[in-house]
Amino acid sequence: MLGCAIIGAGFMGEIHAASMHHIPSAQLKWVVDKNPDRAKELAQPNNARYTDRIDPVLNDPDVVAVIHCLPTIFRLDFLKQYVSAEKHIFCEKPLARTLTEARAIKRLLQGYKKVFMVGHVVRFFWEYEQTRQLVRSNAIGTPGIVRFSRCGGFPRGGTDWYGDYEASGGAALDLSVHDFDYMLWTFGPIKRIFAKGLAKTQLRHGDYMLAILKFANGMIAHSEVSWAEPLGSFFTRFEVCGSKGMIEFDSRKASSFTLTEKAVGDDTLPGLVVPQRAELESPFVRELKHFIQCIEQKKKPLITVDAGLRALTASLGCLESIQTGRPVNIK
Amino acid sequence: MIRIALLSFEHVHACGYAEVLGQLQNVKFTAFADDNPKRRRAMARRFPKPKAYASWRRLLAEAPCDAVIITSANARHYEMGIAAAKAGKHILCEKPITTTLEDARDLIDTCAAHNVKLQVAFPVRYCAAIQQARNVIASGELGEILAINTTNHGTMPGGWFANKKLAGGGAIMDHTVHVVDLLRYLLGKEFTRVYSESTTKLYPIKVEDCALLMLEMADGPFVSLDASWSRPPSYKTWGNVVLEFKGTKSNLSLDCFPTTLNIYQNKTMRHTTLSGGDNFDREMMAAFVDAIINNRKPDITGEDGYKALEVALAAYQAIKRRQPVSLPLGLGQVRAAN
Ligand SMILES: NC(=O)c1ccc[n+]([C@@H]2O[C@H](COP(=O)([O-])OP(=O)(O)OC[C@H]3O[C@@H](n4cnc5c(N)ncnc54)[C@H](O)[C@@H]3O)[C@@H](O)[C@H]2O)c1
Repeated sequence: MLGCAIIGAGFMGEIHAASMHHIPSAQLKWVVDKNPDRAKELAQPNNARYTDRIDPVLNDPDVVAVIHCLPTIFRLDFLKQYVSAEKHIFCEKPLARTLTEARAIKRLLQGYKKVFMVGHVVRFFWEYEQTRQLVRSNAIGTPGIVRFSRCGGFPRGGTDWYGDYEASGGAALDLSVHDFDYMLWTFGPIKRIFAKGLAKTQLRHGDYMLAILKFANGMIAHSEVSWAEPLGSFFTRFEVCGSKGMIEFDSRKASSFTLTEKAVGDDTLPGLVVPQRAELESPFVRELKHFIQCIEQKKKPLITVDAGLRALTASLGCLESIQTGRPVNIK
Repeated sequence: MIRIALLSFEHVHACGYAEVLGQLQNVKFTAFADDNPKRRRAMARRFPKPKAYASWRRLLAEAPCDAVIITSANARHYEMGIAAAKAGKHILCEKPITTTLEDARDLIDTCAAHNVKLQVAFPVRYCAAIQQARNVIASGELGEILAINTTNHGTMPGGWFANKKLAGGGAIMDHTVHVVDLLRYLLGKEFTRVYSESTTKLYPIKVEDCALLMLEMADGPFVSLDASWSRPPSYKTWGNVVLEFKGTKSNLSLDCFPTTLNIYQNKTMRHTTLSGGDNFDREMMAAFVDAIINNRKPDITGEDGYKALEVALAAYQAIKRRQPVSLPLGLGQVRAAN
C-alpha cells in the first residue's frame, strides 16, 4: 500500500482525492492546506489526517508520494522540501509560473531517483490519445493545420488567485499549457509563436488568447483559450487536418452523460465544470494510476520535467508575444 | 430592364450568378463569353437564352448589355474590368478585386472616370445573420468587442486557383477577403496590422493550402482568421464562414452556413449537409441591379475590394518577413508585396 499526501485541498486536490478511491494500491494518508477547514473537509471523509503544515507529512515514513495541487506560484520551495524528504512527486500543471523557476526545478531534479511527474492530464483523455494514435498511424496523412480550443467560464479558485494574472498567468498560461503539451507530444517541437491576448488589461474576471504556432515540421496550429465564456461552462474542441483526411472533436457534442445544474438565485451558480464520459475511466484516475504504477514498477513517467518545461516555454512564449507584439522564436 | 452579360465561366461561382440572373424580374441575361470551347458549349446548353461568344472582347463590342459580371481567373479581372469600364459597362467583379493593389487602384479610378458602377462580389454580406449581427453590434449589446476568432475553411478548389500566376496566390488569396470584408462592414473600422503563417502540406501544389492570419484593428479587437483549404474531399460540406466574437458584455457566434440538415445517401455513400434559408447570390445581384437603376453607390465598392485585397497581400508580406506588417501598405510595399 502506497501512502500519499495531497498538498492543496482545492479544486484539483479534491479531484485527486476522489481518484485515489479507484487505485487499490494507493491510500490517502494526509491532506495539507493552509486553510485547516479546507484540509479537514477533504481529509475526514477519506479517513486521512489533516494539517496546515507540511513538516509532519514529510516526516511521516508512511507517506511515499506527494500530490502537489497548490496555486501555480507555489512550486520550487515546496518541491525542494519533497526532494529532501525523498518523496515521489506528482506536480500539477503548469510546471511553474516562470522559466527561471522551471529551470531551477529541472536542476533540482537532476539525478533524483524518485518519480517526478507533471499533471498534463490531457494526454489521458481518450479523444486526445486516440487522435494521436490515428495521426501516428497515418490515418489522415501528413497534418498541415490543427486547431485546438479550451474555453470556459472564469475559474473561481479558493482564494481567487486565478484573478491575479501575475500569479496564474491568466488563461494564456493556465489553459494553453494543456494544449501545448499535447501538441508537442503529438506533433513535435514548436518553432515560432505569435499570440494576441487580453492579459490583465481588459477583463477583471476573464481572459482570452488567440495564437498562431509554426512547428519545426512546417505544420501550423491555431490555439484558442478562453475564460470569457458564461460562468460554469466549459468545452474543448479540436480539428486535425491532414493530406488524407481530418479529425474533428467537440466535447459539447461528445458527451454520453449530461447533467445540467440549474442556477437558482445568484449564489448557486455552478463552479467549474469538468467534461465527463460515463463509459470511460476518468482521465484523472488514469493519470494518477500511471503515476502510482511508475512508482511501483520503477518506470519513467510519461510526462517528465522536460515535457513540463517545454509546454511552459510555449505558454510563456505566448505571454511574451502578447506583450511585445512580435513573434517569438522557441528554442 | 437591365441587360447583363457574363464575361467568363472560369470561376466556380459563375454558374450560381448566371442562375440568379434568370430569377430577377428586372434583369435580362443577354450574353456570355468563354474562351474554353468545351465549357462554352456546356454553358450554352445550360443557359440557352443568352448569346454565347468565344471572345469576351467581341462580346463587349457587340452584345447589348448595360453591365457585366467578371468571373474569370483572378489575374484576368483587371484587363476585363478596364475594358468593360472603357466600354461604359457597369461591373460586378468576383473577389478578389484584382491580384495587385496597383491594378485595383487603376480599375477603381477607370470605373470612376467612365462613370460606371463597380461592385465587388462579397455575397456573404447579404447573409441574414450578418445583417442581424450588424444591428446587434451597433446597439452595443456586446459591449466592447475584444477578440474575434474566425474561419473560412474550404476544400482545395484546384485548377487555376492553385496557380500563383492566375490566382495571385493560394488559400490566403482565396479565403482572406470574405472575412476581412465582413468585419470591416460589421465593425466599421479598418485593419491596422497583419501577421500570418502558412504551409503547403495537404496537396502537391505550389501555393499555400494552409494559412492562419492574425489581424488587428485600431484600439482592438484582435482577430484570427483561418483561410485554409483544409476540408478534405470526403468532408460533409465544402467549408464554412464562422465568426466568434468576445465582447465585454456578451459573446456572439455567427455561422453563415449552419448545418441544418444532415443527409446520408446510399447512392454516394457520403454524409452531406444543407444550410437552407438565405440565397446570398440573389440578394447581392438584386442590390447590384438596384444600384444601377437608382444610380446609387453600390453596397460593396471597389474601395472595399481594395481594402480586403490589401490584407491578403500584407499576409504574404508578413510571411516573407516573419513579422507583423502595418496597414495601409505604402506604395513601395505595394510593389514589394507582389
Ligand atoms: N489538471 C487540470 O485539469 C487542472 C485544473 C485546474 C487547476 N489545475 C492546476 O492545479 C493547481 C491548483 O489549482 P486549483 O484550481 O486546485 O486551486 P484552488 O484555489 O482551488 O486550490 C488551491 C488550494 O491551495 C491552498 N493553498 C494556497 N496556498 C497555500 C500554501 N502556501 N500552503 C498550503 N495551502 C495553500 C488554498 O487554500 C486552496 O485550498 C494550479 O497550478 C492549477 O493550474 C490543474
